[in-house]
Amino acid sequence: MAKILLVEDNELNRDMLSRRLTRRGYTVVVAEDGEQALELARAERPELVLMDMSLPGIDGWEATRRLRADPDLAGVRVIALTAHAMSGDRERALEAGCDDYDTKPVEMERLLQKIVTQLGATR
Amino acid sequence: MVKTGSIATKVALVVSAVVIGALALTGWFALKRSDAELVQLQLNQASQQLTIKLGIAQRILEERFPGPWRLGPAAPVAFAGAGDAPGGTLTAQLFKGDEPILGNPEVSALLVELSRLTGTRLGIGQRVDSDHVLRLATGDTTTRTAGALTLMPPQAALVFTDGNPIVGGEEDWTLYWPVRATGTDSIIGVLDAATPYAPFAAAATAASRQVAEGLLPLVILIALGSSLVLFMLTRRMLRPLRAIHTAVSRLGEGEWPQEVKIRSRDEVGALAGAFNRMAADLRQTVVTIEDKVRLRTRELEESNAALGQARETADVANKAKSRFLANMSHELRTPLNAIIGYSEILEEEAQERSLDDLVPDLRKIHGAGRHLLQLINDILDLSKVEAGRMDLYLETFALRGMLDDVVSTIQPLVAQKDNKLVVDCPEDIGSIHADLTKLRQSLFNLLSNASKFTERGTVTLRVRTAHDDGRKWVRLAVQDSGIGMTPEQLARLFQPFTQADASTTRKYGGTGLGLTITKRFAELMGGSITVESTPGQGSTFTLILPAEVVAKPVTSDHVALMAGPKGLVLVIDDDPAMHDMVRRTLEKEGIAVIPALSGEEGLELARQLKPAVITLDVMMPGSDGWNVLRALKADPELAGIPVVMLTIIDDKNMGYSLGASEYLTKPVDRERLIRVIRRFRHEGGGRALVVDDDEAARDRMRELLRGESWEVTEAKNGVEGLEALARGMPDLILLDLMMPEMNGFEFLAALHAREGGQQVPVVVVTAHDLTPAEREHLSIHVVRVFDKDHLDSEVLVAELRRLLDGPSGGEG
Repeated sequence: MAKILLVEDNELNRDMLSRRLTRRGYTVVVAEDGEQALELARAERPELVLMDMSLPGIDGWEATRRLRADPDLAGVRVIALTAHAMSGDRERALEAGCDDYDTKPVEMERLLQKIVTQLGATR
Repeated sequence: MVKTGSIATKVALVVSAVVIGALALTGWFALKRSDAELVQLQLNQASQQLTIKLGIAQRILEERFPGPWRLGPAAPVAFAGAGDAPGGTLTAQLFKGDEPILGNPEVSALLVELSRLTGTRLGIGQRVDSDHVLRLATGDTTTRTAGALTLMPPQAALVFTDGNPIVGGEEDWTLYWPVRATGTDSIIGVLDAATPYAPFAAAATAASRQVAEGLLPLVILIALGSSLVLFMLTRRMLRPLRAIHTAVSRLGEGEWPQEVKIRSRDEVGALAGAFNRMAADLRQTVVTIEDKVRLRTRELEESNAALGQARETADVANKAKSRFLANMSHELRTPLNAIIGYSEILEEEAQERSLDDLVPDLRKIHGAGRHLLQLINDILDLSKVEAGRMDLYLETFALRGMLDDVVSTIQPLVAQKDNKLVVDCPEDIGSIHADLTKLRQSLFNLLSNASKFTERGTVTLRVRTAHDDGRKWVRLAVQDSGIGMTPEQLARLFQPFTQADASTTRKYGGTGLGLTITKRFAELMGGSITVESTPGQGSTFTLILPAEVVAKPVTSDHVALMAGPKGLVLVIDDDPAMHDMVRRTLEKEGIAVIPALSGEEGLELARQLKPAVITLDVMMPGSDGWNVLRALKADPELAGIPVVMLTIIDDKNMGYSLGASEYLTKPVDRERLIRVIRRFRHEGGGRALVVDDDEAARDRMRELLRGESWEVTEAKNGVEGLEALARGMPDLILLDLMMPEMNGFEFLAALHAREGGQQVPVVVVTAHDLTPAEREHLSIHVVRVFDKDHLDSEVLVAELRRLLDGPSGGEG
C-alpha cells in the first residue's frame, strides 16, 4: 500500500486521521508543521501528502509551494485540507500546487475516494 | 401693484362726467324750452308783421287788380328755396272765377309785385296733407277777409315730404295762412310766407346757441372746478387709505410695516386701528411659528443625526455580530471535528471487534455531530453573506453534470421517507456561468427541504432555460407533494432561524437557515427564488438564475460599510455643511464618516465607537473644540485616537499642546484631508505575530487579526517566535505565556533584548493565573493582558485598533 505523509498540527486530528488511514492499510508518516513536512517528504518519499493548510511557521500553502519547487519531489500528489468550507480555498489550493482539496472536518469516505483517485493518477 | 391715487382720479372722473352730463342735459332742456318759446315769440312777431304786410298786400291787390280774382286752390307750391333772394318767383294758383289760372304772368307779376312790396316772398299753395305739415299756432287769432278770400290765423309749419323737409334745413319754418273762400268752411289753399321766417328761425337758433355758447364755458368751468374739488377731496380722503394700502402691501411682501399712524375717529381711523392690531397679532403669530419651525427643524436635524448615528452604530454592531459568528463557528468546528472523527473511528473499531450493540449509539453521536456541523456551516455562510464577505467564484460548467452530482448526493435523503425523485431536464440544457458550489448547495437545500416535508410522495426537479429581459435565464424548480404551507407560513419562510413553526423544527429538524441561505445565494448571483404552496398539496420552489452570472460590482455604500468597523472617522463640527463636505470627500475614498454636531455628542460617540480618527472643530456652541480635545486626551480609552483639528482658528500651538495630532485650517484642502486621514488610519493593517502553542487559540487570533486586515505570522512557542522576529520585526505581538520550549516571559526578555524590540507593542493573551509579581512585570513590558478563558473578542479588537491607530502605540 501507498505511503501517505499526513501534515497536521492539531494532535487530535493527526491522531484520528493517521489511525483511520492506517486501518485502511496505508503507511502513514506524520508531520506537525511545514518544515517538518518538507523534511519528511524528502526523507520518506511518500506517494501522497495530506496537507493541512493552516500550520504554524511555514504554513501549508508555503510548504506546498516549496514542495513543488523541489524537482526530487515532482511525482508526489498533494491533497490540501482546509478548515474553511470556502469555495475560494479550492482554487487557492490548486493554485498553490495541490492536486485536490478537501475540507475539515474530514468526511472519511470522501477523502478516501480522493486519495484513491490521486494515487491512481500517480506516475 | 395698485397705482396710488387712481381711485381718487376715477372717482373725480366719474363725478365730473356725471356733473357735466347733468349740466348738459339741463342746458339741452333749457335750450329746447327757450327754442320753442323763441319760435313762438318770433312767430307771433312775424305773424304780426305779416298781418300788416298782408293787409297792405290785400289792399294793393284790391286797388291795383280789381276784378274777379280770387286766390283759389292751387297745385302744390314749389318754393325756390331758402337761398333765393327775397321777392323771387312766387308760384301761385289764381283763379278767375272758377277757372284756375296756371302760370298766369299777370298773376305772377301780381304776386311778384306783392312780394316786392311787402318784402315778403309770397306764394299760394295747398296744404292738405296734415301728415306732412308740422303746425304751430302762432297765437294770432285774427281772421281776415279780403273779398272772396278769407285768411285764417297764421300758422307756422315745417313742411315735409316723405319725412324730409321740402326746403332747406331745419330753419325752414314756413308761416302760412290757410285761405278759405269767404263764407265757406272749406280751405281752398294756404298763403305761404316762407322767407321771412328763415331769419326768424335762424335768429331763434342763434339765440339759443348764444345761450348755449354762453352757458358752455360756465358748464365746463363748473365741471372742472367740481372735478378738481372732488379730486382734492377724494385724495384727501384716500390718503390714509393709501397709507393702509402701503402697509398691507409691505406686509404681503413679508416686511413688517411701521404702525399706520392715523388717529382720526372716522371709519378710516377704525380701519387703521384694526389693521395695526391685526399686523401686531400676525407678527406675534409669525414669530411664534418661526420659533416653532426653528425648534422643530433643530429637533429634526438632531433626530436625523441620531438616526444616522444609530444606523452607523447598528451597522458596526451588525458587522461585529457577523464577525463574531464567523469566529465562533470556527471555534465550534474544532472540537466537533474530534467528536465526528472519533465517533467514526469508534464505530469502525466496534464493528471490527464485534461490539455491534455499541454501533447504533456511536452512530447517534456521529449523526448529532454532523447535524451540529451543518448548523455551524449554515451560520457561517449566513454571517459571511450578511457581513458582505461572501465572494462569488464564477465558472462555466455543464448543468447536467452538476444536476447528476446533486441528485446522487440527495438520493439517500429522498429515499429515507419513501419518496421518488424525478428529474425533468432536457439533455441539451447546456451550461451556466455561476458559482458552482453555491448553486449546488442551493439545489441541495431545496431538495433536502422537499424531501424532509414529503412522505411517500414525489419530489420533482425541473430545469428549463428561458429568455427574458434580453438575457438567458435558468429556472430550477423543485416541486414536492408534501405538507405544503399556509400563506402565513409562506410569509415567514425566508427569515433566518424561522421554520414554519416551532413544532416543525421539533418534527423535521433542520436549522431553518437553508432557505435563507439559498435566497441570499440566489440574490448574490443576480437571481431570485420564488415559492408557491398549497397546504396539504405541496410546494414548489423556483430558483431563477442568469445563465451568465456577473460578479456584482462592490458599491460605494458597500465599501463604506466594509470600512466601517475598521477605520471610522468621527467628525465633530456644528456646521452640517462641513459634515457634508468631509463625508463626501472621505466616503469617496471608502472611509466611513460619523457626524457629531456638538462637542458633547462627539465625546459620546467617540466613547461608543472608538473611531480611528477624530476631526474636531474649535468654534462650537456648548463645549468648544479645546474642551473636547482636553476631554478626549484625558480619557485613557480615547487618548490614543488621533485628533485632527479642522478649524478656522489658526492656533496650532494651542492645538498641538493639547494633544492634537494634526492641524488643518478651513477652508479645507480636500486632498490634504484625505492624506492626513489615511496616514492616521494606517490603512491595510500591520504585521502581527501570534505566539501560542494552542492551535485553536492561534486560529482564533488569526481570524480576528485578519478581520482587521492584519498580516499574521504564527509561532507555536517562544523559539519559533524569535525565529519569526528574525525575519522581520512585526507591528504587534499577541503572546501566550505558558508554552513549551520557551515561555512567554522568556520570549519577552529576548524580544526586549533585540534592537527595536522594545517598540513593538505586546498583548498577552493567557489562561495562566498570574502572580502579583508576574502581573507587575508584565505591566511594564506589555500593553495589556487578556484572560484567554474570558476573552471578549470585541475588546481585543478595540485594543488592536487602538494599537494600530494610536500614535503612542509603542508605549506601555
